[in-house]
Amino acid sequence: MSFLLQSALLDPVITTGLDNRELGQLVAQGRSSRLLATLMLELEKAGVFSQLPDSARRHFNSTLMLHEKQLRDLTYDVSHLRKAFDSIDERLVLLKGAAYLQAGLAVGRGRLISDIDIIVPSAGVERAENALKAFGWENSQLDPYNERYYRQWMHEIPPLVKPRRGTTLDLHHTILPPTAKAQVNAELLFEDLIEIEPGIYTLSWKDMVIHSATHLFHEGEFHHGLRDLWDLDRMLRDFPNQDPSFWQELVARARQLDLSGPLFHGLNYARQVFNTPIPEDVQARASSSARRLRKPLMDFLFLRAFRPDQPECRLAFTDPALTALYVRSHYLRMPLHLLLPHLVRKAWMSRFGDDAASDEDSATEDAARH
Amino acid sequence: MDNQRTHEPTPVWHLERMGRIYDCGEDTVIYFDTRSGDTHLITLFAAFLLESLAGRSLTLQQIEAVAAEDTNPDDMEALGPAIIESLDTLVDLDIVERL
Amino acid sequence: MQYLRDIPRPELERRLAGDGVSLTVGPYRFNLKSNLAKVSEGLRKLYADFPLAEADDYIDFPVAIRSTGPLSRPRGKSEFSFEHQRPFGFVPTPQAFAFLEWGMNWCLSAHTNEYLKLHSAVVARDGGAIVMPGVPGAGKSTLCAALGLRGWRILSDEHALLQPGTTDVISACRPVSLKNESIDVIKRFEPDAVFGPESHDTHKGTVAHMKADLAPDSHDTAPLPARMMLFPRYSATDPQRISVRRRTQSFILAAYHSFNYSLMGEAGFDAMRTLIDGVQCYDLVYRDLDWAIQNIGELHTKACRQ
Repeated sequence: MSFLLQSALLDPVITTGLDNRELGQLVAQGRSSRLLATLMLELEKAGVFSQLPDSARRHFNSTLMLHEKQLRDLTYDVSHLRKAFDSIDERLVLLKGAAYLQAGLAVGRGRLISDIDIIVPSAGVERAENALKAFGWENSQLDPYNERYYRQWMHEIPPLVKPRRGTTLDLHHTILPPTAKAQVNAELLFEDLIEIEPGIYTLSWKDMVIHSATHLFHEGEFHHGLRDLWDLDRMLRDFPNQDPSFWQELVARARQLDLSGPLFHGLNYARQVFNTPIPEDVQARASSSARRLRKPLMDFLFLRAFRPDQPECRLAFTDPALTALYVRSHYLRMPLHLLLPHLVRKAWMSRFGDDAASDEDSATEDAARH
Repeated sequence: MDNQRTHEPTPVWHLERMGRIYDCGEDTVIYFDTRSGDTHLITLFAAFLLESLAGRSLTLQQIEAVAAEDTNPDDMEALGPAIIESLDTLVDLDIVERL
Repeated sequence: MQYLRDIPRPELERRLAGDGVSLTVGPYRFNLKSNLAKVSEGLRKLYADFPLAEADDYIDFPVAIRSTGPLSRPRGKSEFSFEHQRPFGFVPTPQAFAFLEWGMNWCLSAHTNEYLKLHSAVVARDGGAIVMPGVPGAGKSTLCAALGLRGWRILSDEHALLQPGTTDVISACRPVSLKNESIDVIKRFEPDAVFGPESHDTHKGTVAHMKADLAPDSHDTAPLPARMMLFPRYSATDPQRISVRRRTQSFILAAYHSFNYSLMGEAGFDAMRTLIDGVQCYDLVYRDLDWAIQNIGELHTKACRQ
């Protein structure tokens, strides 16, 4: 059941015994899972990276250069975002990848990001959006249906972009959509922020873990499922080392936020895929909570999502499992009467709609430019 | 407008961190902004202003004083406006901050 | 050393439809798979003299272009994949060969950063190379093809791979992509030029590729120092000229035409600076290929002597 990328991340030394064909598979698994730069740094830490052949090493290096570029850009973009937030006397709170990188956490090692996620209290969204626009951020182009979808039912306003730099910004006001069955009092998150630099904040470590787990199990897209699970693993290894009360408080906090479900899911799968060390009592509670959630079926679905999208990693029934998860995530996020029209509309657009056409066009242009 | 402006504090120009310059003896130089990662084609005069501002904040008067040392006395009158024009461009390019 | 031409046609098709055929392209290895007759025909024409990779070589770019529906469907769709990911969506099967070429370009553009990569044609003679960056439509590929047909070695019509800290370029020789009227221009210029399948009605019009490895050392991967940077522009009306281009202007334009200058950050700045310091920079406006080739040759001879 194990796959090469998983084995290499957990035991870097095995890479020295791989032949070129296997190394090629490892690179493809790492690239498609967005974990190639991360893997490189793990191999370096274990002192084995230099033993790989040049021909494979240059692919790792090329991705690490992308990571380093993102790190530089992030620092610069964050300093600009801070000015916008200073102007309205609001705290700039980074989420997910941007937070991991900017805070210099172990989980940020080699982490690639595709946009900057930030969160503001729901009462302050409009003010923040206006301030950002005054500082040069613009609404990205969305068709009216998607625009309405975002604003009404999602936990984000449509992404903002900085034209000259091409950075995309996602402005959240909660960590779950308001239509989800679970209700999260997002204001609680703001009581516990960490100031990593003057004016720049992240969620507390506990909330970071809970958010990461919640995100993982409420998003329909599992392209980065394995990477997101790796994030959880890294945090769960790192934070308790620096904060002995981390585990006890983590569980209590998840209950307070009404997010124990996703947290326990996250713990379970992190342990199953990456052997994440979890204290016995927490593990016991996680398992019993998971049993209530029809675990065998869940495992069947999720263990397919947490694998690289490469033929040698695919288990039987991977496609239907991913479809089921896509539907499930929408079911968690939206009441059924909203869900069905949305899925129908999505299916319609991806088949016939402008979306599909423009996607193909831009990809074509992309290919052509090169 | 004018009335308002007189009440504003004197503006200062600030260059957080000097970037890299590629000068190959032409009247323009390449400026690599190490903060943003952007590369710009700027005039020699703009490069001179950047070097004067490197890592500090100066008022227009202070910048003029620095620039005057290297300026032909005949050109003194044009110096102020030339500085402002260059600084405006550098602010637009997000290289220099006007505080 | 084995070459693609050593594989008999039926076996080539069988291998393309199975485990693929692995070729050496400059410093990289591609594994190509396809179930399309047009693709194997194009490969046989244009890649005949490409060295095959050894069985245990590291494969940098496993790519495939396959039709998705029944092969007999005349307006069927095909899809390009790299490492089993499909970045571009479907294309009409008759355009498959052009898309394979674009896809292979994309592999280099998007996934390698060990070189500073300029969007540029590169040719060489007498141990020195000319880097010719240009926007699509500027006529760099046409000029590159013509130079190749007059004894210059073509290193690439698309990617200048520059070794940071030097002025050295590395060859990644592949067929030259020609569009619309350029195809006939080159066929008239040299009737013996070898062309692959034409792809009609692509987003760039008609596209055809010309066999580019015409020199005995075409697949040599030893670095060659660049002596000149030339910005070509085809114009039917403007007077033909070669003029010195300012270095700082050349720097900015070459950076703009780079795939990874910005990604490399300060290392990109340093690499570009070393390059620009070490070459002469020129603008070229041309309409007559013979005129252009003659003048480029004279300048190059002078540059190599310096």
